[in-house]
Amino acid sequence: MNANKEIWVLLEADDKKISRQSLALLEEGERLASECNGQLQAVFLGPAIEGIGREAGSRGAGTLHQYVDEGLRQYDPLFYEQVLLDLLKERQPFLLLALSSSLGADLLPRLSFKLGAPLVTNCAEIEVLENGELHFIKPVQKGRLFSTVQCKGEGMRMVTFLPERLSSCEASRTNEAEAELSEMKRLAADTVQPVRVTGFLKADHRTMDITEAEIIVAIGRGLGSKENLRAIESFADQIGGAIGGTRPMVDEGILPYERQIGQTGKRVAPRLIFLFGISGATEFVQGIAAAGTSVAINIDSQSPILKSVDLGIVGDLNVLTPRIVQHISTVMKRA
Amino acid sequence: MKIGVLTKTVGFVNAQTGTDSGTNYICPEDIIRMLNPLDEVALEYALEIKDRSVGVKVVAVSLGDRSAEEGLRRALAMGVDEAIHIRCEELGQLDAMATSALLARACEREGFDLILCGDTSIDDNDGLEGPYLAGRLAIPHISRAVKVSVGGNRQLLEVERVVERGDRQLMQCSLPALLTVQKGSTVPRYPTLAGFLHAESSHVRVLNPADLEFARNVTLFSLNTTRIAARSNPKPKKQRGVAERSRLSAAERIDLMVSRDATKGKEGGTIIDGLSEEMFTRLDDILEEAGILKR
Amino acid sequence: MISGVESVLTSPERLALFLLLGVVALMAAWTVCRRCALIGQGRSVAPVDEPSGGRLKRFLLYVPGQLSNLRGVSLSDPAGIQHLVLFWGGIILSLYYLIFFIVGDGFGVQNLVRENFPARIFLAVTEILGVLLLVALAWGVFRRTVLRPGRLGPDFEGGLFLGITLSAAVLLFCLFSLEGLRFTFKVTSYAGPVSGLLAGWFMGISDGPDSLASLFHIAWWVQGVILACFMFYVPYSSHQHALFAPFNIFASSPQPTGRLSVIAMDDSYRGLSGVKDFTWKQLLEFYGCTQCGKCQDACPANAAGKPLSPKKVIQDLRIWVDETGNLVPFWKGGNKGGNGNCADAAGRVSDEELWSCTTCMACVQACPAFISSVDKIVDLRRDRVLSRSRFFPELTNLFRDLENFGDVFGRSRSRREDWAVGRSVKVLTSDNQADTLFWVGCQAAFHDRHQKSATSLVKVLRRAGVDLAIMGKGELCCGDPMRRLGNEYQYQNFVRRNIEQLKKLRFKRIVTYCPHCYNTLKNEYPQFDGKFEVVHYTELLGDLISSGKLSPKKSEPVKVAYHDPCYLARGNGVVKGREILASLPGTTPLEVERSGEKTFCCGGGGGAMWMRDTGGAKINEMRVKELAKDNPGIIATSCPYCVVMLEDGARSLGLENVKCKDLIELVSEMV
Repeated sequence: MNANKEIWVLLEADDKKISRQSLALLEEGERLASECNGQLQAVFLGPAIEGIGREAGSRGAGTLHQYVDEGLRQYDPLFYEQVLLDLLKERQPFLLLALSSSLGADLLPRLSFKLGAPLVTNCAEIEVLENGELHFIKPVQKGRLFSTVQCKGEGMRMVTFLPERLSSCEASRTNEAEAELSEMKRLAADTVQPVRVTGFLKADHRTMDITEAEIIVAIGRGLGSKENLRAIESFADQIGGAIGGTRPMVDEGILPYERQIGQTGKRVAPRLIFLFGISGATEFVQGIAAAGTSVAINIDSQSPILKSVDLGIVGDLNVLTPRIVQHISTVMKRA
Repeated sequence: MKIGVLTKTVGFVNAQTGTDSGTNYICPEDIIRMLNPLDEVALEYALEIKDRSVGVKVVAVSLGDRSAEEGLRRALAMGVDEAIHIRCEELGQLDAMATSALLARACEREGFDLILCGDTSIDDNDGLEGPYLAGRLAIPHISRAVKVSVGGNRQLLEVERVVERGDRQLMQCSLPALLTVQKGSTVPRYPTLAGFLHAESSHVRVLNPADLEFARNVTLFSLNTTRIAARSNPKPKKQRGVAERSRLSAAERIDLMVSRDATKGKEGGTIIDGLSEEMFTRLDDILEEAGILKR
Repeated sequence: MISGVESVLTSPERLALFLLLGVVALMAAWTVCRRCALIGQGRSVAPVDEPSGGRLKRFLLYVPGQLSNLRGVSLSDPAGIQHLVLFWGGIILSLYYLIFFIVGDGFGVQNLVRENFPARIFLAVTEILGVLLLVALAWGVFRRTVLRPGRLGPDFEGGLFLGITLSAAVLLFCLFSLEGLRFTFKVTSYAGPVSGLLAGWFMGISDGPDSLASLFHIAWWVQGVILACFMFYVPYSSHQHALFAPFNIFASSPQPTGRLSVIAMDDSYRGLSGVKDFTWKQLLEFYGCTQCGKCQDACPANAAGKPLSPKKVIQDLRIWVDETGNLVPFWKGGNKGGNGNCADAAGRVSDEELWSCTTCMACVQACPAFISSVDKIVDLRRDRVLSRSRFFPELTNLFRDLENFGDVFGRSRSRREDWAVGRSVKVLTSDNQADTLFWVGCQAAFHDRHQKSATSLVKVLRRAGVDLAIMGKGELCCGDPMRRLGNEYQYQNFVRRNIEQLKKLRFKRIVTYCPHCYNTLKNEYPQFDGKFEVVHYTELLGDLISSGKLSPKKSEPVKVAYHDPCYLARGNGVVKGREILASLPGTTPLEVERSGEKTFCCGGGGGAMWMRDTGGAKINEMRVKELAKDNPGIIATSCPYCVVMLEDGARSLGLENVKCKDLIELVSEMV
């Protein structure tokens, strides 16, 4: 067994802060470190973030390896790969944790291949066995089954962790420790890379195709008339969701056909979907079979949709939506 | 220009209607043999490149047991020029590090200018074959591609890579290269009758590991870096946060939505009154988890 | 005393007119021959076994008997009677002109043809019909200018119609005048009832024979020229149906309405991609169409303002055929080099038109000339799907679900018997047998709304002592949606697999819940050597109730409007549902405007359940309005598609008090 039980967590930034999921992943790392008597360290590449040492330190990270560069606003695969390869080769941590995000899921396979280190992707849970060996449990078959994966050899292991399986318990945090900052080796000036990032296109949730949307607000008959759409639109704007709906919404001219979900419309696969005033006819549910977390508002407490979503809210959506919008803007202002 | 598309025929577990816990309640009818959906999307991207320009040849490559041929026939029906089946019965015990070695040999021989495959497959949910193969071939790799165009005298690839929330990174890379693709808004083409009939009568080239200079499977097994120790039914998420959450897996929840009768007795998520304060707490929790609310 | 026509007409003028007529007749014959040759080039049609005499009987009933026209006669639309007059008037007049004009005048043998008793009777009949014809023509003008029924639109050529009507009227006046003058001039020994009156009037004219002779010449020439014009015009116009429709009626085979043709997978034919793909029968149908628009009137999609008119489809295709055969006359723009190639097909009938069709077959039923628009629409869909892969993307989802999972919901075979869990329904295997095999179908197996009906059906049939079993996981989608949507390849794959499975099992008959399964199992599976006894549950239920094996108990009095599903009533003549309803104690069946075999579509057939709306109003809402006219408590039907569509329609219309139920749910509550 590796004597040096360093557990590393790759952090990601979100809007000049460490992302919430990264912090939750740090907590997961903290748990693992304590269970296998290891030492937690964090890694971050990107523009300078204020208080990053405290953020990491308060979650048990002793060291934060960072590469601060104001130019690093976007993930650049080969750059990240080269910077981290050098460091990982030198330090040989026991475990590298990253999120199953567009960054982690791209970067870790590259590192894993270059270092010959086993990688388990889309992990949902990590179990520490008594002998210190790790079991990685991941959903397969669209979540119908879970596989338990073991890694061979004694060397470094890598994991990408599903953000939706992480949960933070921020409330109980009291540790005021600060991580020691360690600067990574700078990379030599621009070499010609075979893969280059040339630009960035911001998605507009109002115009994007609902099949590509990660967050969807779907409306149904419970909406009533078209005037009530305004509140839904403000809610969708707040959360950056694309608006979709059931066939009657399209029939009544409230939504254009491109936004219809279901048997006669499109099939969507958002991470989060709100079902407002939708009773959940078979013809509609077919269209959301690939959706992740679901929240429904329905006036009828007996409506079947309420029982089959993650959060079922009983109430009149036209009363509740404005209240929710108001609530969210208050929370956002506070932050 | 020669494009290779890795197509996997997956045995997708669509239901668990069995009674034997030893098989995780899976009976044979529950397993649906199908072309991995994202590989089908990759085929569509490749065929679109072929439609747009002349002199493009698309080859579908599949690794697996006898059933892999089904997916290859589908690829042929969609319009690929050639299908290669690397016949390997013990695939279940080989991980991506090992299979990519086999694929790399085959791809090297074919001399592909571009290789496409799905970002992940719905059965094992790994997404490692593509990047490992690119590594073995030492060619550039871009993941999560949703838009591909070949430019610069067929030397340059312009790719849109989808990141969080549908935002897109614009990327360029030199050829040869490997792309792993996401669905985007693409609808893979439905084969024509001529395509189906052509596929029925087409020849699928079969290669054995021995043909690719892997004399014994033992060599391949030694490449494995991971091992699947067990398969189990879904576990509910560990509850550490404030909100109590659905104890159903996504698949179970959909079962519940679609066929209420069949899954009678299973509990769904929480139902709460919309006028309670609790609603905001729980909603905040969900929004925060989705990265929308920051507190 | 009686002299020949020579005394009135000079030989040169007779020669001139009959030369003209001869030339025009040759031209017309040439056009008809080319048209026949074009029809002859059509693909062959598989012969259908029909009992001898069947053809003749159908011909006599529908051609001279004009049954299909008379059947539709009502106070609001008496056009069928008009057509009867036009038909017989046309035949008698043609005979008149042939015998009395062409033979009599042309060959100068008037005495020979006229001076006998039968000719005398014939003339009387001709003139009486002539008067009736004038009335019919006048009514026609009134109808087209004042009443303007929608079915004649929208491309009705008013000027042309008035011209023809006027010419026909003038022709009749010429006939009466000429006959009258002949009698006046004593070139014939008798006059008809109308010409006799005219003759009396002519004789009283003071300035005598000269002006009458001039009148005779003028009328004679006008008659000849009009006849020449008609002869020239008819082979290019919809009036040619008079020539072709009788042949089409004779050639029509008595197939079940709900059956579509088979595409042989080893054949080069893959749906309607070019003019070469029409069968000779289909080509004949185009020329048998007179644009009466009854199909358009019957079409639910058209009624809802969707972009489909069966009449327009037939006409657009006919013009396409004409262009290919260089048969478009100069006054219709001539041949613009249209060709019968593939790229052209798509331009003729738009995607929206094609996919608006619910294959309810109302147009087929309405056509007096035995023309089907549905087969052509499906053939065009087949081309779009099988050869061009051009269809709405949502259909790709359906096709993929069917291929991967074997059902229309993408739920998979292994869940097919989920609904029966805990109800101990016997599952047929190769080891056991049953009297009746319940073909559940995707809707009843997977849709939560219809699972209730499936359990009700099992409950009721068990109560009646029926030995019932299901196929369980062995059943696949019957294939009906694929076939109606044009995906014949996958349809046949499913049919073969189902037949193979069915043949392994021991049962006497199949009972289905869904009329669409019923139609394809009963009428289309035999095309693939799958001959089984298939009944719909309403047929079985009807028998059980009338034989007393099932006696529904009295329940709350309720008014029920029954909607006949197209694929039962129209497609297969099964109208048992209403009888069952009437036999339920406490239930009052309401009169429904369009019911029985003349039912009106719910809007869900032909794959419409899986496609976007193509615009216009909602067919289901139209139908619900009709059904809910007399405030029923329940709208009952016996088709899962209809239940979903009507339920949805009622909800959209805000009819909270009307419940939509499947008949089996009603019956189940009473046993």
